[in-house]
Amino acid sequence: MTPKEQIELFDNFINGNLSGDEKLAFEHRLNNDLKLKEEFDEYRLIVAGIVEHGAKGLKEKLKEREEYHRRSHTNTKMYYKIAAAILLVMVSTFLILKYAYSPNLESLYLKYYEPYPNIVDPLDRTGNSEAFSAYQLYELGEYDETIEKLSAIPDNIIKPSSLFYLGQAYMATSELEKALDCFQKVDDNSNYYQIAQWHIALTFLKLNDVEQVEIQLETIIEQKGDYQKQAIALKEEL
Amino acid sequence: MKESELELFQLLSTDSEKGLIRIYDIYRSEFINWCVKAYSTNEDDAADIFQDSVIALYYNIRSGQLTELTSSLKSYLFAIGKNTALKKINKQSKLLINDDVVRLSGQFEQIDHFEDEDKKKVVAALLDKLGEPCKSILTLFYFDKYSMESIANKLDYKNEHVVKAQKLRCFNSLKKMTLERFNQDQL
Repeated sequence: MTPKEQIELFDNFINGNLSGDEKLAFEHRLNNDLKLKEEFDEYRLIVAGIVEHGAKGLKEKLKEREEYHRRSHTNTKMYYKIAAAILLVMVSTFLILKYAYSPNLESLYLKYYEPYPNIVDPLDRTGNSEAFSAYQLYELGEYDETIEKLSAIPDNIIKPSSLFYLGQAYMATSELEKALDCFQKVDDNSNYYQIAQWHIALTFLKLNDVEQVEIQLETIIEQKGDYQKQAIALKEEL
Repeated sequence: MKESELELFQLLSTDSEKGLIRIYDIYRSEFINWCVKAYSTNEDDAADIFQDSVIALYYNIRSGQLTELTSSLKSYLFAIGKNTALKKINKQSKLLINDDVVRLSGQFEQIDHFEDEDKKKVVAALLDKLGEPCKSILTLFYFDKYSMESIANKLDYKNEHVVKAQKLRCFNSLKKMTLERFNQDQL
């Protein structure tokens, strides 16, 4: 058997290409031929080394793949971190802008609010009045007494004017919820309706409820009444 | 077996590189999580075990030890993984382990049975030194189990006979280098 034939025989044996009889015959020879056994052991070592080399090559490829997975994972984590950082900056900027540039509601209120003059029953400047009406007390700045008088009027007979001035007196004493209640009860057919609507907006402004202020201003603007211009101006300043 | 696993099995049988990468990508995460939990390894060791397991699976398929799957490809891969993990743990803890524990079901075996790891590595290094085309031809034939015709196609040889002659020359060169490297009595 030539060296070439011997290697082919070994190849066929390890690759399972021998028939059953050929395999048995080869194994028999291996057990009885020391020289062949020695040659086969050398062959096995070389093949084992080649297989080791092949496995090592594959291992390098799989290691590269592992690195790829880890890089992808790291990149994904990094993208999330970047996204989170951007979001944080955006939120922070929004909050800073919101508070830094948000209007001072109190100053806006003082700018637009002024006690509505008493046009119902003005004071007699001669000073001859013996008993002041609720409206005169209002004009005198006696808001508690104004409230006492006007709030005593039963709901079913109270006039829109009384409701409006009662609301004004409540605003002056910072009883804002009560003021709102009064303004909202002013009948929409009344002459005091539009001014009451405007003061509803101002009351919400005093309450720092910007959302409600904006809704109320929209209502006033849509109604195109006497306070439309003021409503537009205030809305722009919010 | 699921259709997708059958496709993977066939891909691994025909296109080694693509099949390996696909198997690696599909089972990597689950395998590493399982290995870390089951054997208390760290992630690096689990990845190392997984790589060795994929290579063993590949070799078993290519060498014809696994011609068809009676259970899922994943089950085989994880069975190899269990074996590989236990061997690694055994090696690390330097404890003897009962072969029965690590022996697989008999449907496939580890890459080779050659007992002397160091000698194997020396021969692998000698093959590296031998260079091309011997490295490719011998590796494709003995590790990847390509036919002579397939090697001729892959490496652009005229025909399988030319490859066969070249492979014999390469083998003899490697044998000569190996014998020179080792005292023949030690083999």
